Amino acid sequence: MKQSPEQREIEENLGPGAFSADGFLGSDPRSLADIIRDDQALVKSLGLTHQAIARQLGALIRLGLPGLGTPVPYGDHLEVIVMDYRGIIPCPFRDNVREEKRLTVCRDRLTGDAIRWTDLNVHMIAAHGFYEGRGSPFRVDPAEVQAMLGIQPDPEPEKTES
Amino acid sequence: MEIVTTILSISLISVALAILIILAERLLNNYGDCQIDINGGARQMTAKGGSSLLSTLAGQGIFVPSACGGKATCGLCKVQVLDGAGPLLPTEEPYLSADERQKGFRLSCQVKVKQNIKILIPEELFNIREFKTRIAKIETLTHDIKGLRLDLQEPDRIRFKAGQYVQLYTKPYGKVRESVFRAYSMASVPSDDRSVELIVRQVPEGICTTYVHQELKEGDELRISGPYGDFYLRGDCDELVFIAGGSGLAPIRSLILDILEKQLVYKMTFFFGAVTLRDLYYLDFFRDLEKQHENFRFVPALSKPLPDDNWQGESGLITEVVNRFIPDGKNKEAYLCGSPGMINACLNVLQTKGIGPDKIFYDKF
Repeated sequence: MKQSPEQREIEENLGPGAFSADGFLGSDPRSLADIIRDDQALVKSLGLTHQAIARQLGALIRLGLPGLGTPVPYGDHLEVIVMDYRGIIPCPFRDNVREEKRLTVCRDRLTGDAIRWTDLNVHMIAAHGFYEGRGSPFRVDPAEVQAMLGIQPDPEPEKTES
Repeated sequence: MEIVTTILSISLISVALAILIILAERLLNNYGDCQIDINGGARQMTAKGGSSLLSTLAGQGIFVPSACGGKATCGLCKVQVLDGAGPLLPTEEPYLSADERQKGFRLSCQVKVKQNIKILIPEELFNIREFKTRIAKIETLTHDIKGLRLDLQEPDRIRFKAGQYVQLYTKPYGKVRESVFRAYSMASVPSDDRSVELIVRQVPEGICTTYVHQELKEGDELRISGPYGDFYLRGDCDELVFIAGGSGLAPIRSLILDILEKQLVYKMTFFFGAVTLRDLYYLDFFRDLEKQHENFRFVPALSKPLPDDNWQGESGLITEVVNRFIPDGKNKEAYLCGSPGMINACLNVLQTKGIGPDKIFYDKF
């Protein structure tokens, strides 16, 4: 299908070297629309919504922030570490949203398993249903998130903007 | 025969349309030469239209500060445009107050030069230069921080105030096809005017920091411009409090060295915060300074030292350590540099000590 200039610009922004060194699509051969559609189906199969996932990830950032880079306990055996860097990164979807360059890691102290995400991830999940492509350094896998955090589903079904 | 004629006709029409589009693009996007009037005729220049005001001015040797490389994310490149800017863009709105909009301030990275344009800029921007440099030394300071020493080639000297920053320009590398630039504070002392020292922390997936950490090597040429910024000593006090984390040590080092070199009579305390010992650097350097200067106190602090660190120094979040050491804010100024989280947390502590916002200084990038 032919892309609009806006779609083409977004895909360029998501590619390597535009907004980040390796970009947001990784080695994923699928189109942006397919990536978003497949993740939407995955999220739905988990009984979740993009908003519920983004809300939980955002809440953990706020929990970890006062730690200034040191681990903050969460629940029985999880800990959250927020590392922030100088600078701002704009959303590649060109919606005039800018996020601080901040990386959050949630680690299971018992198993050593960890998931990580950025503030930009949280925005792109909530606003665009975009979790990044497979092989992208900052892909947030909804199944891994759910396995670690056990997010409660929203009571109401949602409409997505993707 | 009819099919061949149809195909031929469609092909000819397609070719004709393609030529028309190319011609239209060339005509419509060709803004020709535009006059740029700066500060009421104090300087006038002619530049080819079509690029951003930021890059057009840079092409004429006038470097407006920008920390984000023209992506409208830092808001530093504001200039007052009196005429010829076109309508305000949504990308600019978050950075401009109502008063600034009324006075015609715009983000120069978002204004495209399409016609003659009149602008007002601070006189000090005329002093900003572009420098060709050669990398004399790359030093690994921690697991994610490198120090660079750049020897200036042309021009071969720089004049700056301790605390100011330069912009570093990358070359295309790997998958990165375009040059970008980012702001880095100078760690060297202004009297050392033939070189510049920078401290760069690797940002995961960062375009410029990855270039510095993985692409650059000693002997390479590097382009910078500067000096920029208003993070420098005010000194209307008896005592100076410096707080830094990570690569934020850079401008603080420059300020402290400059003050000691000039033998200014301030009492100084430098708090340097990190998580574990592997995140600290320049420890011996500042401890030596402390031994040599009785008006300088160095307080490195770890928020989560590891058992193997055998840390004997201050422990706790940098905010807790500052709170313990600073009894009150009387006759004090504070200079902060580090991550936004650290700065925000320290602002709260300093203000509870009575150091007002007008006595606290930090770079907003």
